[in-house]
Amino acid sequence: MSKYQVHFENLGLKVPVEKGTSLLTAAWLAGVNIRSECNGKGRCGKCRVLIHEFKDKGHKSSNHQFFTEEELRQGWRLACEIEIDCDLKVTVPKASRDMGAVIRKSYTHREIELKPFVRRFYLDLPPFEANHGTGMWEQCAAILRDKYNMEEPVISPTAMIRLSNLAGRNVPPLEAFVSQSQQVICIRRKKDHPMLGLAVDIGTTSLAAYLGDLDNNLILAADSVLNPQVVYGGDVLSRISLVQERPEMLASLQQSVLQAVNGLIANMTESVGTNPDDIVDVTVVGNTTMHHLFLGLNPEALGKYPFIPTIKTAQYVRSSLLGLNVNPGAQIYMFPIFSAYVGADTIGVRIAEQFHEQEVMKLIMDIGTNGELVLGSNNRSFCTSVATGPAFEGAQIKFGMRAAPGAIERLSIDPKTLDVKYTVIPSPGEKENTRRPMGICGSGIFSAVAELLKAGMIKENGAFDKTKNRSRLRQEKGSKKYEFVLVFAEESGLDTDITICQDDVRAVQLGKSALLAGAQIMMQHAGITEPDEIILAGAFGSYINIDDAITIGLVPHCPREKIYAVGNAAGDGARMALFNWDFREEAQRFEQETEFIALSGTEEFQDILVKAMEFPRYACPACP
Amino acid sequence: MADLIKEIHDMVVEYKKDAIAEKVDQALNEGKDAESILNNGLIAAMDVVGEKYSTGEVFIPEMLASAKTMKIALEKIKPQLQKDVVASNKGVVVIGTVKDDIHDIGKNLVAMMLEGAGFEVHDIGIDNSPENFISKAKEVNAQILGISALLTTTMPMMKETVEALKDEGLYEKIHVIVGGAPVSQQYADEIGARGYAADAVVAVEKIKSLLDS
Repeated sequence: MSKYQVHFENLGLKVPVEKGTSLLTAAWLAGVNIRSECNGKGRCGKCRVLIHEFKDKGHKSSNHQFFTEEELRQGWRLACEIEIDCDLKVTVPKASRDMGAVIRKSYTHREIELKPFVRRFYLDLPPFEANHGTGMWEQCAAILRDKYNMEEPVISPTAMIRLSNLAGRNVPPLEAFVSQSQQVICIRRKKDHPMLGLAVDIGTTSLAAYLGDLDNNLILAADSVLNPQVVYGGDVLSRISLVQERPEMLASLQQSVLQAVNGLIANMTESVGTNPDDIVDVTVVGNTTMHHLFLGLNPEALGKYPFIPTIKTAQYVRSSLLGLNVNPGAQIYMFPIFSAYVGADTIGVRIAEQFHEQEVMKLIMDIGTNGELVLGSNNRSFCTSVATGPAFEGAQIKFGMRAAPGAIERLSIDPKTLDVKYTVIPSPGEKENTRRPMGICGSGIFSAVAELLKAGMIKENGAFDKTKNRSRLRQEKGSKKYEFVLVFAEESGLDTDITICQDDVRAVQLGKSALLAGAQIMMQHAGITEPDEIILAGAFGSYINIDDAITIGLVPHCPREKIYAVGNAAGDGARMALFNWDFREEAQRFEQETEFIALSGTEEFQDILVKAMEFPRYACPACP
Repeated sequence: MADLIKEIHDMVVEYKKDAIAEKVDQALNEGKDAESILNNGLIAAMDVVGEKYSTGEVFIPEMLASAKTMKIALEKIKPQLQKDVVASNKGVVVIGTVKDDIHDIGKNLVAMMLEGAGFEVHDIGIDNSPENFISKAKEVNAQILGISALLTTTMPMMKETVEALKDEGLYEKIHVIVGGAPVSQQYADEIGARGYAADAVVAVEKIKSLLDS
């Protein structure tokens, strides 16, 4: 196949690619992180590039959505729509580059009673003599039975290989690491090795891992990284459809996430001066698609009605089977899952929130690229999932971007002057608000809509009120719709004004109505009119301002002081189950006792959803 | 006299769902002919609603409420309409969601707006195989096939439906129009669909222009 060279001029990078490769893929191959919220489908318009000396063979029709005739003439195109068939020189503007998402997975400190799944046992083997009539393992097993009251310890193949290196006439003192299910994970020379555990939270966008000391009930290190699968698509469905179209990509998706977790393990163990081999227990949470891809399970059925997961119950999988860089005998505990779209991450949240201990009805809203909802008390619980649309991640929003440096994450609007004050996410180590805004991330978009409502600039039905102060309100170029200027070009990091347009407000209405309607249907099932408490979790749920959530009506009615955000509760659940395996049994109990409610395709849902699109009356002082 | 039709028109625009039936009865009793209620009252009103949607003045809730109001009125006048007047006016559409997909709110909205524009609409619901689409299209002699998919994973079923239409030799006769959140004009071109519409209002315009051409 013929190879062509792509030269990213303004970045000084060159890459050879095969004919027919998309320019977007070429950029990723060259290490240029071009933004693509739609996974190269030509829909989001974020991958704008300028092509020099381009022999144009006509342009694709969808380009008209994103470019003016003048821009098309100059050579502006979407990188995803260019199939390379000659050498190219390309400029990638700043606005099209992903400046690296801010990984916002921090952990909450929680008291956990230590009860690890794996324990260590000391073995002092008597010296072997000729014709002793026994083997190394049989001697170890005898001690485990006689001294430690185990019934039937089982040795793993990898532990056996290790043991063979210690066989001989005089055996040094040994230690065995044995799980509660009497699986021998490892037998080795007794030394002052720590006994470590790893908790992993696989998010669609980012991965977080925690290294725990299982002897002393301590978190030694925490680290996170962008989920490398994002280059294959921002949401779970685009990754599922990738496997559907190209089955061989399943292995690539699995390997990319495993390698990333191995990278986290290497960083963390090195930073605290320990060895990955000391990690003898692992817990993993993630949404159902992340769970399936981590295990290398074909996710196709998750993408089609009736949305069937391959396996729901908790599983132990040997680390050596997956190639995870921990002790090869360690068993990876995979949390159970509720359904195709209510995953182990939500079970993790539920464990972390421990609402089984109380009678109050709590509503968990785990909001990311989709919304996972759980409503319950000790007696009964329900779960469901909703599509929240693109607004939450900043995709398909005119000036939307991921929560990365340069994104406006919060703002306020003076109702009289309409002056806008905003907070921009800084780069690590950078002072706050020194960076010029490049766009708006999910929480910023909700903040903008809430402030516009309070200022009376948006009506209850979501339309801009054109009878009001028009100083920042104007018609969008080439459209009959209106937009509100948040940041004028002089102050912005782009060479244009940053605005929020009518369609952006509509996207917020779609997203929030899905969540609210889902919650309302569950409340109907539970026979309540409002929940006692609301817990916001997930990549987005943790960062939306609670007052904004109330203002726009994203949450059902509930006293303000009873609504709280819990940060990365899914990761907390994974840590709790690592230090105390009682939580694994509870996870299983939740999985069995929670009733899944399907929403799509019922007329009832459509009516409730449409009603939920309106903004609450109390939000706008100007409303009658 | 003409005012009564204007009142019906305004009631649809302002989605006065509870009052419209009475007003239509009144109009019929006073000798208004059904066809003029349809054209100057209902269809004209839904044009106004579509225009308001395009300018961002109203959104899905208002559009749906207007469409429901219009439908109540339409049911009232249907017995009085000359047979096939609806179909001969605009055209016959079969619309549905593809196989393996059960999302239907957007599709429902398109169906209602098409009805509001005077089309004869056959909504075959969710989870439809290519064969379902084709057999219904043959049965009702459709000129338009509207196919909806809301998932990236079910989009390929659109292509299969278009292919099946080609195999049946109906591709030239029946115009396929596609829509749904993950669908784009580019995708429509790729699979050989005649049109793509980003929302219900555009869908009505697209279908009108397809039938005019």
